[in-house]
Amino acid sequence: MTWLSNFLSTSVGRKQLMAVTGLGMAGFLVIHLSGNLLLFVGEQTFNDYAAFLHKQKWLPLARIGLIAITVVHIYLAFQLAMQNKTARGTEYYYKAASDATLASRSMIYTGCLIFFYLIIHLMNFTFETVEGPAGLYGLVVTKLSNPTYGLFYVGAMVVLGLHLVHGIQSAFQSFGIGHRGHTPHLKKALIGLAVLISAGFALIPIIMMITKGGA
Amino acid sequence: MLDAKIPEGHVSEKWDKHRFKTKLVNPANKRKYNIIVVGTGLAGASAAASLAELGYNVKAFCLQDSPRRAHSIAAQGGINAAKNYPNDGDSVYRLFYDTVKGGDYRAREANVYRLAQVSNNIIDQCTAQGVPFGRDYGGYLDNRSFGGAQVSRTFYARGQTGQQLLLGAYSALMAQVHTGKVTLYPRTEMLEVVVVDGQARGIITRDLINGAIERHEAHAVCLATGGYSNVYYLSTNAIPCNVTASWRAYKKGAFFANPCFTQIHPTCIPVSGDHQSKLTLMSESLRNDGRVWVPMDKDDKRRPEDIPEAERDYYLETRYPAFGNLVPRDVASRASKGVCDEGRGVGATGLAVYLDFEDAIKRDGKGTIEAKYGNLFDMYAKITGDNPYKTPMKIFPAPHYTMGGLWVDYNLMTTIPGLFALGECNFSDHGANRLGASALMQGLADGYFVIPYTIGGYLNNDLPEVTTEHEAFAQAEQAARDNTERLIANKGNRPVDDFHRELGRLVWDRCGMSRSTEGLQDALERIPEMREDFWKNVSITGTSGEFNQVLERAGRVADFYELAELMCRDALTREESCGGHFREEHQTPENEAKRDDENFAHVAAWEFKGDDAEPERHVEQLEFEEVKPTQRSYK
Amino acid sequence: MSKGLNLTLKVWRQKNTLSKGEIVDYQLEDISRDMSFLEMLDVLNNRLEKEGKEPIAFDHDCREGICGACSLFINGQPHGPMKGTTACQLHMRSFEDGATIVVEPWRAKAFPVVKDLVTDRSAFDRIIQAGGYISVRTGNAPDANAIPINKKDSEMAMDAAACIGCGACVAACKNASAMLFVSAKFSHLSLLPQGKVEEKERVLSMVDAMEREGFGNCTNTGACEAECPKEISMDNIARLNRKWLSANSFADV
Repeated sequence: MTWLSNFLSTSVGRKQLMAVTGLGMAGFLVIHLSGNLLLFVGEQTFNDYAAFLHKQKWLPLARIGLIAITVVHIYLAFQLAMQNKTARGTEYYYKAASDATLASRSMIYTGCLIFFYLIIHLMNFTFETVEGPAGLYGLVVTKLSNPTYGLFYVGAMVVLGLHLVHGIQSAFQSFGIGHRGHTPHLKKALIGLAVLISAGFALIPIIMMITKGGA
Repeated sequence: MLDAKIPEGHVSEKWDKHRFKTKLVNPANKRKYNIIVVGTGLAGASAAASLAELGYNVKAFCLQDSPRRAHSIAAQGGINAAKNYPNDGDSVYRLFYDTVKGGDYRAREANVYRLAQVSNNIIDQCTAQGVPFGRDYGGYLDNRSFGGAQVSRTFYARGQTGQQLLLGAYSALMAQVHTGKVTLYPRTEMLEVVVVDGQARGIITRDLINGAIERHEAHAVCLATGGYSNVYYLSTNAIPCNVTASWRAYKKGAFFANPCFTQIHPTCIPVSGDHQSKLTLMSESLRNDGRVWVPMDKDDKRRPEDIPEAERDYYLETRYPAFGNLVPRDVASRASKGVCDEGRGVGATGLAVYLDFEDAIKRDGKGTIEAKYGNLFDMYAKITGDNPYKTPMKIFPAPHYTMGGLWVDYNLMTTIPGLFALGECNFSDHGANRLGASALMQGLADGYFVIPYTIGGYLNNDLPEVTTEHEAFAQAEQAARDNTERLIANKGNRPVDDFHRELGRLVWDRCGMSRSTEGLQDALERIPEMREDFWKNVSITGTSGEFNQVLERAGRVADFYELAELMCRDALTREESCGGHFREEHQTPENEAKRDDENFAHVAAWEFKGDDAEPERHVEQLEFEEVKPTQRSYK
Repeated sequence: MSKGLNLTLKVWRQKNTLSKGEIVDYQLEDISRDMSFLEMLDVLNNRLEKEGKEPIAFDHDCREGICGACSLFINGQPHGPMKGTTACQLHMRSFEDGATIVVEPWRAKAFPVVKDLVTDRSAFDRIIQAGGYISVRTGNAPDANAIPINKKDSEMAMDAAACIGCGACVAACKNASAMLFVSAKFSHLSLLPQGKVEEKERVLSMVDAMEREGFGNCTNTGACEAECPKEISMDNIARLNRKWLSANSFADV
């Protein structure tokens, strides 16, 4: 079983675990987003979808799985960050503008922000009791059309976008799916996917804030 | 008379017969022998790796922080071998013949033949190690013609052949470090050879990080410490290249052969000012398309583009119509010096000539020239700030390689039993002039394919057990300490570089591209004075017990003073011109080098007789059974 | 261009590995634009030696951009501002008159400072010892043309083999990761048929060795590729990752 422990004991292995857990969460986001977009189809459809989902026997399992990969992802992130910090030793005297992108340099910070956002998000919706005839749909609309919440959510999605823009394509690099021939396009496509996910989520509060008056 | 121990028989059979006759060391006994290898360039790294593979215990030493940085890495052009892959008429015999002739008949035939024989094994070995030699579209190895050779026998890895060959040898060495058969000592300098009862049994070193002086015992010592071009201060060698290891061996009894045989390469980037610390070589291949010229009029200060055709002197083309710009290195270098001496040199210092690509660009188009020389043009632009596509390059000759070195017999053993010399640090197979792409070949031949056989023959001798507690070690260590302390005690006010620059200029003027009796005699008078001044006024900061680059440099310069004297002495006694050694008194009416085969078809090997005594000149007569000497002509 | 440059140099001085270092200021006048960066340091050092002060220690060897000895972190960039250029090939014409230049050693836990600007990069040698070679004994080799190698593969191997082992990638990386160096050596050998035989063992042991030396982790930021004086590509890192994954996960039972 050394191959398994190698994933935890080597830099390349840990990065690949980061990549696989990160991509797992990104996959969840895609499903989550497609569900959320039902908000625009109508109240009934969305609430039916929510009810259908909650009836599924595998839901607790999926939740545990999701929590597990999140924990692994966060644990490794801190471990890697700590190692990276100590690997430098003495800091440079001259603080230069970095060659690296903002997104790539700020992964640990955007990651932390996303975690805090996640807690608030779970408290807002997952652990909130759903009351009233409009069900979950009502709760979502009430919350997100409120400018305080709405703008907070939009801001969070910008941070998420930044994280995904580096994260998704970096995950592919960590698996070594990259080649001079197709990488430039693959990389662009993956960055596009990241932007699409975060923009899709951000669209929901934006539209709700705009249409609140009329709705 | 020196005995080179050349085996009997026809030149083509000598190596085979010798290998058969040489006694072998029993595999089980190999692990009982310790071998020291000093230097980790092509010769040192390949020797250390190959000896360790055979089972010997090897200690490998180098000055640099890593063996991979030895100066073999800077070789650009390529490596020769007699593979005859292009089917253009090459053979072992032809490579042998060309090398003896190119060396102006001052090399040992038997050694050169062996070199040509093993040249093919080198290419096989390096390819197997993963050296990415240039290939054709069929996937087979490509060759190019180099240095005016009539066959294409040069293998190359872009413009970085030396780097790739060294990384190959380095990786073989690292593999042996991994197995524990080689112990590596980086940032360590050899200061003394330890001789016990007439046999080399170890060395004394200084750890360059903490200054510790240490003793190392072995059954045999191999020096692979490179050449001494840095005696000129400015050369194409790396800054730390030095003669110290060879010189300390010389002072312990190893003869030093042909020290005046140095090679001046014609195409280097000229000096830009007094701050210049080294010279950069531009590949010889540039002369295939570039035309060399200077203004007709010595007071012509116009920009080169503004000088009309009729007022330019394409002096190589006029003087040597048959070879034109492609005359051999020594001829081209001397001609450049000549026009600069007349005051017609160009550039800020007047020590440069133009290498012009205007006609080549007109003829072939910029694209073709860029494809051939793009990387060289870029490098030139980076260093000088000039664009060679628009304005001619400026070039000037620079010291590049030293054919002279420690005298060795056919087994590569010096006159101290048990002390071997490999690669550029021995007096080598190149005679009085080395052909392009032959240095890499010789370094690897010595390390991979010669020393692993010949050292066994020596180890079969009766070698008594010796430990580092032996009196000889204590004495050698004391000598090293005394020398170091004597240096560090100097708290004068002139930096080491100042002295080195001054010495270099003198040696360059008097014992560089052309030498004369008066000049050499003058140098022999002045060098001891300069040396005395050095020991009085040099500023050596810091202490001996720490990382001290000033102390390192000072020790090397101190040895260069002594070597410079021997070079001049050797040049003065060699009353002929041959290869890189041009004596003004010995030239043809057309100002070409004139050899004296009657009196000087020999190797001059110098024996140290004490600090205050003159060294003794020994002679090894050279027999030319295969390649009969003729006068070279490029008219 | 007649007048040379006046410069303020801020240089890291540190007596030895254990002592504490500091930035020391030096004023330089009339520095020729034709000098290389190292020659500028030579000028300063000669002045210090004349004054009986200790000159600045820095690693240098060939001074023509191929040995990889020079290792100066100049104004926040390994080897200074010129792309694809080592410090020894950087010339003073790249700087403005009156400029302040900060010179520091490579910073990485795996590269401890020896003195001033000199660091100990033997970690790289140990990584090579772990597997950066093809195990072929002297004399074992078949004829060099026995195995034809696709020209493109051979060129790609050469691109990777051009690495000079200077450590600029580690110095530039915000995590002090050595992945570009390790992957370049691995790729060089992996792209050639001769190197395939030991590929699995090589990738696992080289990655392990890198781990032991205390380098940071690659986070795919690309600073290494941008600063590499030989412009080695990050594609090599992708190759190493891929080969490691397959060697580690699908190893023979």
